[in-house]
Amino acid sequence: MNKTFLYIFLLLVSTLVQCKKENLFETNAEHHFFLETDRAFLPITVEGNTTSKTFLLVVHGGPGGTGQIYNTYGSFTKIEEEFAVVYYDQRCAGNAQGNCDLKILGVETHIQDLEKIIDLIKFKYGDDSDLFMLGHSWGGTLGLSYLIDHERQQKIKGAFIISGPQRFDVYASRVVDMIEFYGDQQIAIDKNKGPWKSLLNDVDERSSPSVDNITTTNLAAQTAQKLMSDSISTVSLDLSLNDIIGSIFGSDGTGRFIQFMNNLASTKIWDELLTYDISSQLENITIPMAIYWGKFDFIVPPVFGNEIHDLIGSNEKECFEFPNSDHSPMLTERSDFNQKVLQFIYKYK
Amino acid sequence: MKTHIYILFIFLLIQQNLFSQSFDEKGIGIQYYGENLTRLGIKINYETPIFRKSINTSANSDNRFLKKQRIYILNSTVTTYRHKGLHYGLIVMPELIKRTIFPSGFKIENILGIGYHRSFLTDPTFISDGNGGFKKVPLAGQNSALIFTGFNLGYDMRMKEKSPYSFFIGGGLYFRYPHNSLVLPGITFNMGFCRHFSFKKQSNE
Repeated sequence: MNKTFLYIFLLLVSTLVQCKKENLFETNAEHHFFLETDRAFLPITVEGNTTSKTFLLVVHGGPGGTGQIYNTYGSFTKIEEEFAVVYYDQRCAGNAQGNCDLKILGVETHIQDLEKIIDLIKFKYGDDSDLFMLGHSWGGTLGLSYLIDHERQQKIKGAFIISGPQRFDVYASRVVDMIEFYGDQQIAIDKNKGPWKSLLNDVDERSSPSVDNITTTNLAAQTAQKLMSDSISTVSLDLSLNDIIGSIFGSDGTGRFIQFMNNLASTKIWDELLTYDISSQLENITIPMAIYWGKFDFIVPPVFGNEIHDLIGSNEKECFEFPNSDHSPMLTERSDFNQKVLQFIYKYK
Repeated sequence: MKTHIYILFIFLLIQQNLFSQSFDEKGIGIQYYGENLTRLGIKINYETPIFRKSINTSANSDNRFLKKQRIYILNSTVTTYRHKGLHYGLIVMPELIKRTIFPSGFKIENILGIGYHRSFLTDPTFISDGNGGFKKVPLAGQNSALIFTGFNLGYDMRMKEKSPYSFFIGGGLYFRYPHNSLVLPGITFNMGFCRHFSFKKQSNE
C-alpha cells in the first residue's frame, strides 16, 4: 500500500517538473516567461527573430484585453520574420494570473509594469537591444502615458500609437460627432437609411462622461463600423482548425474564464480614465513616433490621432490613415501595416 | 409467537446475506481530471465511508426485496493538471460524497469539496530587484482556496458482478479565490474508476 502511494506521489510530482534549455537568440524564437509584480503574474511571449536584437513591444488594448490575441491572429507575422515581437498581458487583464490588488489598479501601476517589462527584456536579451513600442487603443493611451516621462522614453527607440486616444473626457462626444457625420452622409445617398436613422436617434445625446455613457457609445461605434463595412477591408484570419479548436477550449493556452474575470476586474480603471487627459504633456515626447489610424475607426475616431501628431514634441514623426480600416488596421490591412512598421523600425533602429 | 419471531429473524438474516454486500469498504480511485474540460490532469482519491443506509425500493420476480444503498463518504483527493502556458495546478481537497447505488449497479454521486489550490507557473518567472536587475522566482505561483461541487454517474460492479470495482464519469464546477481580487469559476470533467478494498462476496454463494 505504501509503495502504491509512493508511485502515485512520484507520478504527480513528475507532471510538475519540466526541464528545457532555452536558446535566447534564434531566427524563429518562441520564448515564454512571466513577470511578477505586486503579486500579479504577467505572461510574456517573445516571438520572431531575436538575433536582430530589435524588439517590438506590443501594448494591448482594452482595458482588459490580451496581448496574445494579436499573436493568435497573426497580426505581426511579417515583422516577426525580421525582428522579435514581445506580447504581454497587463495586470488584471488577458491571461494575467495572481492576485492583483484592485485598490491600486490604475494608469500609474500599468506604467510601472510596462517599465518593468522593458527592463526585463533588456535584462534578458542584453542592454544593447533596441526596443520599439506599439500601443493599440487603450494600449496607445498607456504607451503615451509612459512616454511623457523623459527618463522613461530614453529606453525606447521609437513608438507606434495605433488608434489610442490621449484623453477620454471628450471621448463619447467625438464618437457621436463621427457617427453623425457619416450617418448624415450615408442617409443623403440613401444607403442603410433605416439603420443609420435609428443609430443617430440612439446617440443623439451628449451627456457628461460616465462609464455607462462610454459603454453605449462604444456599442454605437461598433454598429456604425458594421454599417460602413463596404468601405472596410475584410479581416482574413490565418487560423487553422487546431487554432480554432484551441481558442474555443483553451488548449492553446488561453484561459477563457480567466480572461472573462480579468476583463471584469479591469473595468475598475474607468473611474480614473473618465477624466484622463495628457494632451498638455505630449510635447515631452521627443523620440521618433508613428501615429497610425483606421479611416473608419468609430471606436476611437481619427481626430484623436491628428491631435496627438500635432501635440507631440518629436521632430521625427509621421501620421498615416489606413484607408480601408476600422479600429484594428493590423488586421484589416495587415500587409500594408506590417510594411509601414518595418520601414519605420529600419529607419530609426 | 416465538416461532414467528424466529422466522422473521431467519428471513432478515437470509435477506441480509442475499442482497447486501458490505459497502463500507474503503477505496482508492484514479481518474482523468480535465480542468475546463481539456486541460489534462490526474486525480487520485481515497474514500472512507462514514455513514450508510439501505433503502428498500422494489421486489424482483422472486419477490425478494431489492435495496438501493445510500452512502456518505469522506473522499480525500489530490489532483494535478496542466493549464498550458499558464500553470500547473495542485489541489488537495477533502470531499463529502453522497453516493446512491441502485440494485442494477447504477450509481449517482453528489460531491461537495473545500480545498487548497496551488499554482506553479509553467515558465520562468522574474521579479525586479529594485535596482534595474531581476531575479528568478523559484516555484512561482499562487495559493488559493477552492470550492468544488459536482456529480458523477457510474456503475458499481459490486452489485451484480461482485467485483470490487466501480466506474464513473462526471463533471463539476469550481470556484477559486482569490484570483485578481475576484472569484474565478471553472468547469471540470472527470472520468475514472475506484478499487474497493476488502470487498467480500457474501451473496448468492
